[in-house]
Amino acid sequence: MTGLRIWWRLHRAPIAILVVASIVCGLFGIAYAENIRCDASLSATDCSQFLIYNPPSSIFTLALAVLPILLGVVLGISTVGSELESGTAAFAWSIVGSRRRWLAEQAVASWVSILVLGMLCGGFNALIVAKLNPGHNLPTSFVGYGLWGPILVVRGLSAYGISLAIGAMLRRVTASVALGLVLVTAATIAALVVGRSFETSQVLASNDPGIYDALGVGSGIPGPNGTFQTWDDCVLTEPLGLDGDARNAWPLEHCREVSSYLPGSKMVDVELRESAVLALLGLLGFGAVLALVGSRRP
Amino acid sequence: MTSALEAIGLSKRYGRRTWALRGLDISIPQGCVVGLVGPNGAGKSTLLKTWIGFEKPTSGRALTLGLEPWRDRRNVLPRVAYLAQSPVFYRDLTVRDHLDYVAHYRGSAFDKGQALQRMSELGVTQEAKASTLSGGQAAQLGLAIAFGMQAEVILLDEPLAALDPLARRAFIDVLRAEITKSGATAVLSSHIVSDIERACNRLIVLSSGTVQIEGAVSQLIAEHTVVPASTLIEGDDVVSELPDGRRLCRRRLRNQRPGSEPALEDLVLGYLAAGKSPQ
Repeated sequence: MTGLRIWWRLHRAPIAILVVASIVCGLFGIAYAENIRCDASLSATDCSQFLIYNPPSSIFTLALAVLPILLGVVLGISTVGSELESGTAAFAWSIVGSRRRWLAEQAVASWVSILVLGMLCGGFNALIVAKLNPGHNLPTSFVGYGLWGPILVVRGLSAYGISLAIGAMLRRVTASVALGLVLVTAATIAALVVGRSFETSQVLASNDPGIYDALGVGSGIPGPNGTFQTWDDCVLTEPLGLDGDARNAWPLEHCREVSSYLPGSKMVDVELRESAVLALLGLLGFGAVLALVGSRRP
Repeated sequence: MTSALEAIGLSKRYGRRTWALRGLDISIPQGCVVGLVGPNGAGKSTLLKTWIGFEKPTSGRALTLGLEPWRDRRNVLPRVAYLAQSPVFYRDLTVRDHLDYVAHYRGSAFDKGQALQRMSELGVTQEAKASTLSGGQAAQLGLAIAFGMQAEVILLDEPLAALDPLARRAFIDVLRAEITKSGATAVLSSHIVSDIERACNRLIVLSSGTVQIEGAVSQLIAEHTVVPASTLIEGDDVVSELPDGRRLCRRRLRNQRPGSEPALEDLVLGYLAAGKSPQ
C-alpha cells in the first residue's frame, strides 16, 4: 500500500483533473442528450456524424473519448521519461533492487487508473449515445462506434504503453508529449482501419431496416465482379441496339451509385480486432521499456 | 584487507570517441573514507556510477563488495547507498514520503526511525515537501537515507557542490561521525580540497579519466615534499610546479633532503597540473 500511496501522491494532479473533466463532460453530455435526439431514421454513420459534428454533443462525446488516451500519454511519459529528465530516477533506481519490479508497480497503478477513467468515460458516452439514439441496441450497432464502451479503456492502455516507450527513449517530457500524441493518434487511426478491414461489406437497400445500425464503408457503382466501377466503365457495358429514350434511361437505371455497409452485427468483431491491434501496440511499448529500463542510464 | 571497491583495467567510453575512464586500476579497502578529486570531466561521476551499476564498463571490471554491479545489481544495491550530485528528490513528496519510499523497497534493512530522528534533529519536519528543503537539508536527507539503509558502501557524488560553508561543515561532521560508527566505506567526490581533507583518510586524484595518484592521505603526504625552485638539485623527482612557483617532489629514500611537507591542496594541484602518474 505504501508504494501505491506514494505513486498516487506523485500522479494525483493529472488523474484528478481528468476525472473531474470526465464527470463534468459526462453530466453535461447526459443533460444535453435529454433534450435532443438523433433522428431514429438516420443510419449509424449519419448518427455518428451527428454525434461528431453537432457542436454540443461533439464536445462532450469526443472529450470523453479522448480523456483516457490523454491520461495514458501523461502517465506513460511521467513513469520513466520525466523521472529521467528531472533526475529522480537516480534516486529511485539507487533504492530499488529490481528496476523491473519498480516499473511493474508503476505500470499496474497506471493501468488501474486508466481502467477506471476509461470505464467512467465509456459509461458516460454509452449513456449519451443511447439517449441520443433510442431504439438502437448498441452492442449490435455501429451507432456511436468508438465513442463508448471498453474500447476507450483499451485506447488509454495502448497510449500508456506507447508513451512509456517514447518517454524512456527520448528522456525529455515536452518532446515526448508531442511525439506521443502524434504516434498515439496514428496508432488509434491505424487500429480503426484494421478493425474495419477483413470484413466483407454489403450493399444495403435504402429501405433495409438494418441500415440504421450499419456502418457505411464505401460507395460507388456496382461492377460485374462485385467491386465498384467508374461511371464511364459502367456506361461502356451498355448493350448494343438501344436508342432514344431507352438509351437515355439505361445508365440511370444500371449505373446507379449505391453504398456498402458493415452490418451492426459485426460491431463486436470490428471492435475486438481494433482492440487487439491497440493492445499489441501497447504491449510492444511496455515490453520494450521492460527490456530497456535495466540498461537506461539515470 | 578486503577491497570494498575495485576497478581493474576499467574503461568507459561514451559514443565512439569520448573516453570518460581509461584503464583505471583502483583498490579501496573496507572502512576507508576516500576523497575523489578531479576537474570537471575527469570521470569522477562516471566512476561512481560504474560502482553502483548505473554505467556499464566498456572494458575492464568495476567491483563493489566483490560483485559486478552492472550484472548483479539485485545483490549489490541493497548494500550500497548513492547520493547524486545535487540530490534530486520528488518535489511533491514530503520527507516522510521519501523515507516511506525507501522503506517500501528496502524493507526492514532500512531504519526509518533513525532517519526520521536525524531529520528531526536538523529541525526538518516530516511533512516538509522536498521542494521546500534548502540545499543543505536536501543533502542531509540524502545522508539520512544512506545511513538509514545501513549501507556497507556509500557513494557521494559531489553532494557539497551547491552548499554554503556551514552546510558543508555540518554534512561532513555527520558523515565522519556515522562512518566511524558504522565502519562503512565511503567515497566522496568533491572539488573542494579542504572538505576532502576534513572528511577523508584516502585520496584518489583523477584527471582525463586516469588516476594521477591514489593512496592513504598520510602516506601520500609523507612521500612528497615541497621545495623552492631555487633549491632544486639534479636528481630531484619533480612532479610539477605549484601555482606559487615551488615544486612538488616525490621523496626518495636516498634523497631525504629538507623540504616542507605538502598540504593536501599542494598534492592535489601538483598532480592535476602534472597530469601523470607517480612512478
